Amino acid sequence: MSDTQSPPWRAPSAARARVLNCPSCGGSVTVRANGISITAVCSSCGSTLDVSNPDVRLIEEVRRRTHEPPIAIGMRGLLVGTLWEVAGFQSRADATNGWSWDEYLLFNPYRGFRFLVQDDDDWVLYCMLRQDVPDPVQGFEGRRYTQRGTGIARTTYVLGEFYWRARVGDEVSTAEYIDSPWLLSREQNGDEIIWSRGIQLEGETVGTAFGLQSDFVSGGVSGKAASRNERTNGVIWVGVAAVIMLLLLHMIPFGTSRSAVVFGRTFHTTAANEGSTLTTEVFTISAKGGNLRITAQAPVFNNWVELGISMVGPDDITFNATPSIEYYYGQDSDGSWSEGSQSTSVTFRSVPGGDYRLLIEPYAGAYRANPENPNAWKPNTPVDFTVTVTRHVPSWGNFWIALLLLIPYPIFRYFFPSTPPAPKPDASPWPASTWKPPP
Amino acid sequence: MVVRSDVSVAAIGTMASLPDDISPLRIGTGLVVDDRAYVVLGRIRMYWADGAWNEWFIDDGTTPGWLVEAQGFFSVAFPLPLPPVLVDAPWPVLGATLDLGGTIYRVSDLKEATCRGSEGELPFAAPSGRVVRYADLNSPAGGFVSLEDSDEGRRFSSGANVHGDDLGFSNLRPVEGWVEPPRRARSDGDPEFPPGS
Repeated sequence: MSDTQSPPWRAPSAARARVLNCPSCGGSVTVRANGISITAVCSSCGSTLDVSNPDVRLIEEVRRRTHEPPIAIGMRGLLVGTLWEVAGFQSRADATNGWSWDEYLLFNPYRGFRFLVQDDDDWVLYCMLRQDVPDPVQGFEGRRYTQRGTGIARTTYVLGEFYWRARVGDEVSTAEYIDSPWLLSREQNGDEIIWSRGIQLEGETVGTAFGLQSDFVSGGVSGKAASRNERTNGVIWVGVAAVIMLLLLHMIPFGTSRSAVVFGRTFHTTAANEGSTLTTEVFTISAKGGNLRITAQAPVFNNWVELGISMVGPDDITFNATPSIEYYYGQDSDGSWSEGSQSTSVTFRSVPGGDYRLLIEPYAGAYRANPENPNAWKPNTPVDFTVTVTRHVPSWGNFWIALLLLIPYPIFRYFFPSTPPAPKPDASPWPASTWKPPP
Repeated sequence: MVVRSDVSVAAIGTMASLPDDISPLRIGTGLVVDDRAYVVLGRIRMYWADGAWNEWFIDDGTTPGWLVEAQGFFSVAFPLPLPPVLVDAPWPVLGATLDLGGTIYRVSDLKEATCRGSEGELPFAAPSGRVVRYADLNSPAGGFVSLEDSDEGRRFSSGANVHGDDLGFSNLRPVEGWVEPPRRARSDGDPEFPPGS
């Protein structure tokens, strides 16, 4: 503890909200999450203020008409055992299909933030998670979740204050998983992956907490929802007809042979094989074009195998894949958990026919000593893995992609005549080998 | 910047006055980590492009560490030697994983932040304007690992994301207009806690 310094300054003895004057209209603006909130929208004139600094800056002088959300900014309500104050409100819409919903940012200085989301008559209370969620479909915290949807959420209206730089036009890619009454939500932008855990609430519970009128929380009768339903009816019927056609088209194989296994072999290796190249016999892929899947399986348990696979074909055409098989299981205070899988696959969309062979460089955790238990390691520990090559894998992925492309379009065109912006590409994970395992 | 008359001239330039916030923590707040009684000795306030957080320096007399407070969430972290493979490793990208003794940590947050003030006792000088690059990693069980890079080199720390309820805070700062809430029952259904807890 060298270089210790005496305090030059101390925080005031009581924490308090901050009240400032809007630089645009002079109206009074309360910053409830003082020191945490970054932006605040003036309730008088709608201008967006940067409140992250002692000097308040005007980000956007809009002078737009603000509309008060059904639960007003500043209202307090007792929910799930904590008194919350509404600090912010935003409306968001799916950038592809225009579906919109409302989100209240709730704040308590001792408990942090929650998101109260209203989608028509469904209410969900979310809390941000600070733990990795490898795959909710494989199970998380003892529940198996079903993916409910993915999309691009675009902010269309903001009011109040936020702990991020909230702007109309913000976009994040989203995925939602449900195992009622629990939900998991994943949002990603450039530098952050945010998982949230949600629980469905009865409209009545929310209504009682915040003193709302019953016709509001019961949903379905709000003007917004009713008019949206009326206007979209025609488009939806076109969509339903298109889905039925797509389904029929997808189910007819058109004479293509399906799921032909063209190569399969189990490899027995030891530490001596690490990083060396295993070359397989030549196998033939039919001339008919189409996709091809390489599946790697290994009976790993609290361990990993990574294969550098090159599939080399006619004219040295090469397809590269680096399947990583890892499976971990353990117990902690929350019960048992597992992550990963003993099988992983890589699919190439279009592989020409011809004679191919595989060059495989194996890497495995079991090739090396565990730094925590070096004496238990035996250099001749066998590491087995199986590589299978399958031609013409039925791709429901394509079906869902086609469905996603087909359905939102008429709806979207109906709401937004302009072309939607391209979604931001997700950052591809950096090859993890440098990071595992530390010696 | 607001120049305060009670700030000693010597401190200006090395320590900034601390913009106030609504945090109920303060120097002198007590907390319990792994059954050990800690006291908050100092804090650093970090800002990134879109937000801010507090790093509270905590000590129990033997094992000093940090209580990170961001958006009302808490993480406890203790400094560790930098793993040799990370000395020259390229900076990770979002989603990269790190195997630490069999536990897989995933990079969930990459940020560059600037110190905009500090108070109290700290284990190193934290001048205003000090820029730190962070890579934060989480494990499925809520384990927390942080890799930091600044002019002084890389720092590595490990700990856990924790619930404020579990830290047994004492001597908190009063918050105007709010009452310190009672400890919750996990059965209240707050999604901060996992199902069935």
